[in-house]
Amino acid sequence: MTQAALRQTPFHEALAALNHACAWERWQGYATVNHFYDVAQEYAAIRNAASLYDLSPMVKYRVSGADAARLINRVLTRDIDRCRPGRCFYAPWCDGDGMIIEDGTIFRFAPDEFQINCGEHNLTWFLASAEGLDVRVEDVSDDIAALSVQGPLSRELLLKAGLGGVADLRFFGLLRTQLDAMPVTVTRTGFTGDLGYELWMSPEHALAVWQRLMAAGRTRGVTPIGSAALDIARIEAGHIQVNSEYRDARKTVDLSERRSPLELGLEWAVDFRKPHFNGRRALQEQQARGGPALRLVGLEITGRRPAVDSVLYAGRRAVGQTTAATWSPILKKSIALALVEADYAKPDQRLDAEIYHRREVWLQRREAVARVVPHRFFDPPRKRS
Amino acid sequence: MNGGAFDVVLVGGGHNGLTAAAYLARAGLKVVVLEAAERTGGAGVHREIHPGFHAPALAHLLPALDERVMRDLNLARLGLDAHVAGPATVVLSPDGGTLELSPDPDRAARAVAAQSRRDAEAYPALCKRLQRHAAALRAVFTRTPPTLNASSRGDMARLGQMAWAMRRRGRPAMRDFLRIVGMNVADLLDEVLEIPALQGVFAADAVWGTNHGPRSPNTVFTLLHRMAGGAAGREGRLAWPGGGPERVVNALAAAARAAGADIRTDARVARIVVEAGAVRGAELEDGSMISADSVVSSADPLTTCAALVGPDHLDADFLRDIRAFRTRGLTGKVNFALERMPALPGAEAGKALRWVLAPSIDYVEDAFDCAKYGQAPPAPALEITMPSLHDDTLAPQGKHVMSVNVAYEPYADEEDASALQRTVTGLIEPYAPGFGDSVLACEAMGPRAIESTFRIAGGHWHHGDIALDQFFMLRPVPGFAQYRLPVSGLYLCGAGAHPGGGMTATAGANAAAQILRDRRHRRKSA
Repeated sequence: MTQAALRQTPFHEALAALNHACAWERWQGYATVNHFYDVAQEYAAIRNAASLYDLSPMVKYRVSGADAARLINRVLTRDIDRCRPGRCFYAPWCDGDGMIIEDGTIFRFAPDEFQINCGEHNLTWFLASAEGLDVRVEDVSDDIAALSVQGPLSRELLLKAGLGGVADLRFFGLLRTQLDAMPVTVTRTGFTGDLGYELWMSPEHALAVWQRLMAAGRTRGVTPIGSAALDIARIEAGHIQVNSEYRDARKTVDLSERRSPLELGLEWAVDFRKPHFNGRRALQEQQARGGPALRLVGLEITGRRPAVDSVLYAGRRAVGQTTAATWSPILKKSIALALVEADYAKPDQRLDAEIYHRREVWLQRREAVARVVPHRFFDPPRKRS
Repeated sequence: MNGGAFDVVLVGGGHNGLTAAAYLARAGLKVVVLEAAERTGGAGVHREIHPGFHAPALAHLLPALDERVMRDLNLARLGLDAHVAGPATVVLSPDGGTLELSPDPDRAARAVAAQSRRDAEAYPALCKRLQRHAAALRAVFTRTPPTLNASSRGDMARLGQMAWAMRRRGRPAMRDFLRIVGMNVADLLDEVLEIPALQGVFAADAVWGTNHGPRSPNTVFTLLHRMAGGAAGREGRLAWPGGGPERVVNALAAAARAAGADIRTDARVARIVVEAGAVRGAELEDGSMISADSVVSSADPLTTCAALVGPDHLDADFLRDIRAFRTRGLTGKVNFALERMPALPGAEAGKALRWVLAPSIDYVEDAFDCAKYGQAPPAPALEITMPSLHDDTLAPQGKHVMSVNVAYEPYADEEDASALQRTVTGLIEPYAPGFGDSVLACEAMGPRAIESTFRIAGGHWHHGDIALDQFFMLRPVPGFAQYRLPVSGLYLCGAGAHPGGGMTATAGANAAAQILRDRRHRRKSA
């Protein structure tokens, strides 16, 4: 008997039954869903009802011990002292050259107990940063199942399912609670830029929680979604993603392919008031030289075709490229995240986008006008309310 | 407690620290040297191993003191250029066929001819060939290594100059250099020479103080590194200045003091104080704080970064690279106080500079094989000097001190000094009958003892192994070979920096030049 090429997440049984398209894709060695049946319908649930997305393959680290906060502060470019226990925190982390390794969310359960969630493996980096500290860093990825519940009806759904505590869970808040005696951690975090929550639980409870939510959401339009629908939502929200807007600085072959947080719109997340963190010296130098070459921008592009892998021109000069592009159903616009030279990263800057698409087999070339806009395309008040 | 305010704090008063201090003080900076021991001089001092007997604590020859330092700091009067009266090297061989090698290759060739006509021809040619390559390497020693930053025109120009310096020696010379530089020295010696003892002495010279055996890769490079001395006209010669290495370090201290540097001994630095990425000075173990906007460390890179600066101020990848810098020493040192001159061959003939016991390549390689697995070799290679032959103040009238380098002695938490002493005594006895009975006192140190005595992490002569992957732009770690460390105002000036150790003082002089350039350009960190 041959073993399945991809591992199954704790939610697999539930997902497989619904996966009409059989559209599986690899994520950290797990089979995850690209789409169940129809991407547009799944996307619609994110923006109009409530969606469920299996986050279990995320890489998760538990950081604990007397010096846990010191380790986190050596790693992150933001100051973890600004995150109280019971709160979540978003931050990138950099190598010694001030180039981004990854970004992720950090949960602070207690003054010296944290969980870091990210897309790729970072254990060696965290351990390298832990020298001389009384801290434990454990990879707990397989010990925690995770489910993202996103959409305007997500709060109601969780309340109806019996998670009463979410009623006053604030944006980036954290709640350790129980659902039918099953311990569940609820964080008000997400990748959709909408009202939403993430549920973290023991793998053995995953299916029971899933069923509980599906049952409670029958009248709320609760819809399981795959990564394709989520990607549309994350571009609308303007969230960067590893291997899309940047690559892990330790993995790029060409040094010029590394990205600085100052290029990715994360100046606000680099706290130079901290006396030291990995990359501080290099980032200060970048800043002193007037900042790095490129900037992340949002683009609104004429036409309907997503400007995937488009080169952007100012006149005849190529000044940037799109990193992610989609048709935004809610904005009714073609939008893209792009990296462009700093001089052209100004609001309302007009650029020319070269878009290629296949009509059937033959590649079509189309020129479109792109306008630089803030990269948070969709940012509804309900996200924070 | 306030220890004063200075422009520059120098951590460590070894020869590189003193050299850098002298240069910086001469440039008008207010400099303080903080030496943890009760006197300056580091590994170049002498120790009284028995009442009235003074022996070189670690370094016992100066193959390559930097010519520029001798000139700039007026050290010529120390007699470093003095010719050695007797044979430079007496090669000990178990079959009794002792070889006396004069510093002049042609004279040495006449001695070699008694054993092999072929080697008599090959030996001077090999010496000249290696000396020419070493001279090319020397050009690289005395400058700050360039960065690999293509946007820095100066660095690219310097790289080009270095490539041209190599190329202009002619195509055959360049081709030969490129062929042999990464080779193991045993293969080269097998190609060129046939007398085992003559091969053995080259093999041993290639590996003294390193963690290599003669069949380890790039040991031709380590041989050239040793030969690439700074003093033109003394190529390949093993200098014993009158008064020994101690005289040199004392002269460096005097030069630093004369230039206005404040030299403090018994001043143990507890930490280098860093605030928000910039040095503020040094804090001593007694709690006093000495403030300065530049701190220059002649301590090894690991001690400097991991112990004195600490991981709270350094990027994790930089510190990981520093930890990967190979610092374990593999060389022992034994000093003897002797009742009488040992009956070593050639001793009567004149004042031989050294005796080498490395009768063949395999002899050295066998010793290395033991040591690389952590065993003390039963028959290590020895480099023996008799300092009291050249300076009669080192021992009472008629008595002597002997200084012996031992390749190899492995690093161990519990070193057996008496076993090392017994091994070395037993090895010398057949060549100098009665030697064992003439020993009045002995001091034996393995790398662990060298580590604690001289405060060198790992106890390595060079603070870190000499090898192509730890040289030039890669020393101590890639990206930080320009003496600047990634803290504003913090510099490295010891053997762990380019071009490495070996009592050259080149690292100290290069670092001082870099610091002065940076101060002119107001640049402070890597």
